[in-house]
Amino acid sequence: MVIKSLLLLWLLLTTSACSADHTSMKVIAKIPEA
Amino acid sequence: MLYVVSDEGMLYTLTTDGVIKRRKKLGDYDFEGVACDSRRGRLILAIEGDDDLLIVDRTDFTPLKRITVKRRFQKRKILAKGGNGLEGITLAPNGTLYLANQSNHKYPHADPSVIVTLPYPHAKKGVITGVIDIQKIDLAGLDWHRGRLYIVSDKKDRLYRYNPKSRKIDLERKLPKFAQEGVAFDTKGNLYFSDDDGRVLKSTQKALSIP
Repeated sequence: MVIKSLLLLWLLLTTSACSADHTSMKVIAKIPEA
Repeated sequence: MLYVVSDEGMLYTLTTDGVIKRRKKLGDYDFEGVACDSRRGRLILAIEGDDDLLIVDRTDFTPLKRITVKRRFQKRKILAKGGNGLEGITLAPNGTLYLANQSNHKYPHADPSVIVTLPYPHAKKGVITGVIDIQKIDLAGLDWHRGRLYIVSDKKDRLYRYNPKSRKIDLERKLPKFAQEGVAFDTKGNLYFSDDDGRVLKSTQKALSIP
């Protein structure tokens, strides 16, 4: 039970740490000499 | 305004919409990062390989002086000659200059993945005065924003936020898979990333759930 709870907590924390909306990321420039 | 450097010795000014307003080749340098010293009207450019800093005039991009960063801190070699070297750079309002040493090895391995600090503008001798070890690899870009140090890891596709008071990472965000090279915030809730292909990407703090 403890292990299950810890696993759920880990999953919750991992999900929280990684939540982000990447669809809003847009390329606004391309440096020609890079 | 955004400032972008390239590994071909170029320095650019861009608008926050991505329009290139100024470009100048400063020489055969491998630039990897740029920080803005708005108080003195200067830019501080990190040169990879040599682990030097080039100070240039912010308006006309004239080089003013060059500073060699010492490779040791408390008798331990931090920056290895010929390693990946300096990648990220940012300047805090209190005059602390933060520099990321890009590496796939965690501290205390030789040539470790750490952030070093130098006092600025009194960094004439380039002496490292502190080391921040966050136990993350491939640190590619830094930006100081509202009292926190933001760090991008290329290999991990992550944005980290370091709290200098608690000395801990207090925020972590997964980024899309691309070769992150730099990060910068503006004052309007936007943030910008540069990548290894010369692209500049724009996002928002809201989209990345950054308060």
